[in-house]
Amino acid sequence: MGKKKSVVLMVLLTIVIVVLCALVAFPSVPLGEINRWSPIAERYDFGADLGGGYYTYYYPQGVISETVYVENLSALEGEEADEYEDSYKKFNGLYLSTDVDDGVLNADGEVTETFKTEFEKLAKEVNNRFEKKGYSAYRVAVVDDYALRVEVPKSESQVSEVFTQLSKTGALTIEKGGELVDELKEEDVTVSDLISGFSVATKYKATYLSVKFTSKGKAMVSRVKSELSESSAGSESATTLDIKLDGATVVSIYKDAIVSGNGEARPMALDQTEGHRIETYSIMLNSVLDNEYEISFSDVSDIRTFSPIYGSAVVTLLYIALGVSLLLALVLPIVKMGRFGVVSAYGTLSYFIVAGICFKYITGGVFEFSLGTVFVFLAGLAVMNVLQMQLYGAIKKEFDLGKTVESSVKGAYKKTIWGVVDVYVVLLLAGIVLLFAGAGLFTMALQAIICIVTGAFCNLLWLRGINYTLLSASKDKFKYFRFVREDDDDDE
Amino acid sequence: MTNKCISKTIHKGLWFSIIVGVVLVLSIVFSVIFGVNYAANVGDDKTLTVKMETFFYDNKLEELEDACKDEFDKQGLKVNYTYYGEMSGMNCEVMYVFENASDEKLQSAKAEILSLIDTNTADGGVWHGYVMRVTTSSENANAIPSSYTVKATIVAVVLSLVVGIYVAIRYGVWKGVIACVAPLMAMVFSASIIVLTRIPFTTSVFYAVAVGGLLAEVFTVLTLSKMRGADENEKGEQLVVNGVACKEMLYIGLALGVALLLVGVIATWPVRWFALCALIALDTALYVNLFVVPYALLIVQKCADKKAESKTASGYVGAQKKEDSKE
Repeated sequence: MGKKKSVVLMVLLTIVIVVLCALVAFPSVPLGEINRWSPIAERYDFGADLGGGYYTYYYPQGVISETVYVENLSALEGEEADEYEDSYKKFNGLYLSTDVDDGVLNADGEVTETFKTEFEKLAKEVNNRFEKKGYSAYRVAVVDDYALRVEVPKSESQVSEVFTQLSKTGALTIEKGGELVDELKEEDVTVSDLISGFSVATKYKATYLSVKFTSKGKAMVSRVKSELSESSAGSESATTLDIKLDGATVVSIYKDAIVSGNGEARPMALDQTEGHRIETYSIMLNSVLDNEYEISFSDVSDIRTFSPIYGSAVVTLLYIALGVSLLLALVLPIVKMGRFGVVSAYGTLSYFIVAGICFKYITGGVFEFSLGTVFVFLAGLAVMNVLQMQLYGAIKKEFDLGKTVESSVKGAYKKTIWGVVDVYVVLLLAGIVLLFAGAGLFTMALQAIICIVTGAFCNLLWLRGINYTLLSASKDKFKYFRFVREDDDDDE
Repeated sequence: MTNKCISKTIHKGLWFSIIVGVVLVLSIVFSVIFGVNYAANVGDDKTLTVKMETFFYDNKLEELEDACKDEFDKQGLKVNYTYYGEMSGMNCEVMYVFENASDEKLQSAKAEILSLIDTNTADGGVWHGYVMRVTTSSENANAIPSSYTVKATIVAVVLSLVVGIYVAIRYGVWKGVIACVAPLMAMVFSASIIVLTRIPFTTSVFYAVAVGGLLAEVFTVLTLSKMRGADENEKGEQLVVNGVACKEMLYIGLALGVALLLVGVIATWPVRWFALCALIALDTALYVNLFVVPYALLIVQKCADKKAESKTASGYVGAQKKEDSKE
């Protein structure tokens, strides 16, 4: 490539890189009265440790908080107030109903064993439900032995729906046109005999709830299918197959939602970006399908936000630390490797841009930026720069054998390429395994894969191109690599 | 440390492995006796919550907080952290979570704060017209769901196996075994140190340990790749000693170490704990690859050299080589 072409190309590349860096990281500034420029780095969904979150309380029926008790009592007078006082017994920060029919306390005013056992079982199940949501961090805490406080990160966009749905217990039923289906009228037949499970499925950019029927359920669907309405019918006059929880409809299945063969129905179709909402329903329905609960929670009312408990300045400080690390990653290769180090600097900026943009836009789902993200990003950056350093060492070694600069570069790339491929293949395999691990590692695995693929692209392709362009534009190829030769022949 | 130092330590690899085993056993015993130290916001906590109207929260919260903090100091209660629970248009709350608070002191603090609120919200008081409620509770959270720990262990094993199979295909079976064991050893070692040093154990620790395992794999592959590209004349111990990718490992370690130190120095305590865990994971990856892997590679290389020698000793020369030597 000619010198002029190379110079023009590098100038253009530099401009593009600077603009993209600004897109990712330029500080937020107001644009007029209303609008505001925000860099991508400010628009990440942060995990609870960096971004705070939401929390609410789950109180079983027959249990209320001290605040509610005091407020209700203060609104009553005389006999009414006395009656109200008698209807509850204080237990730490909670008040438990003394009515034996509520099942919380027995006639002696002691908490019943059934309530204790059922609450413990329900607390574990609520924990399982939130775990299945795959948050990087969540919290289900037992408060005063008989209530729950639940936390989710701020990245949850449907927090009210999540808190409400994941608190639900009760009996599942299936009705057609408002009437219980015949199969459930038989003795000892429950919904789990008709439905084997619920899951989330995606097709043609839509996400839907997949309801899988058992063979008995298939027979039921075959029997009622012809009587069901199409989804285009008006909702008031439509006849649907309804899956209800304690009498309230959760899912309505129209005729066209039933897949041929009648083994599956696909109601609740939403845009792919809203798949996490279907996931919430799927988790709740599977939980009530597989388990029976004797107690239930009161309606979820107060949902509060909380800021990062360790201070809202944590994100700013973290970004400062990252910024300093990036600066070192830019400067040190230049100090160590001369103009070849400029290639590494371009690599660092390219890695920062691609990873920064991918962290935000690679998926429409929850993709939390947490402390693990920082470590993964830095690890990828370090590996990429050290592999470049290894390449420099190989070029130097080839040059010391007496080869020309171009031959040395070619030879070094040839000798090191498989080593670099091995490193990235191993990392990619590990990342893919972590992806299927779940257990809260899914997000970190996705972020690791982004960093690995970006690093591989930089080391194997991008930086090679930049090196070729910069080398072509360089006046003195020896000085470019900081090589010294006794016989100073011009080998062009 | 250069490759010269590797030549001094390479024969002591077994002892370095034993150290890992001893630390693992100690950590298991320690966790059985003393339990694992879970992070500040999990485990058994005592809380004091003050509920108030949004207007008071937005305008007078500082006054209430000062009064509460004075009371906590009087009672000797240490606030671990504070939740500021906001709810637009309705009641907000401030929840103080205490470290090792006795019920007696907590109830005393509650009574005093209630009394202060009653005085200040009475006619003529500075908070007249506002309604506030004070409650105390205890919270007990599942530190880390047990399924997380089980899944993480299974994942670590599967990850190591998958990588080991790839390395076995590329470099040979026994080197694949080494590539399988090295990240497992690094992850187990780092988790053991974290448990022993009572660093608060959170889900972020899983991330740090997992990335440490990934780094251990990278270091192993760098060494194997360097050995493959070595001079043909180098054999046995010399091949292994010169093949260990010391410089590359130490540069990665240094770069990450400096970055993590920066993060730890600048940020607040919980981030510091995470940075410390990440540093431990990085150091264990380096330890395994600088002290244990070279020893294992030496054994494998010696067996491979013996096998090669026995082949040439038999005098057999392939047909192509025979033809070449005739020419």
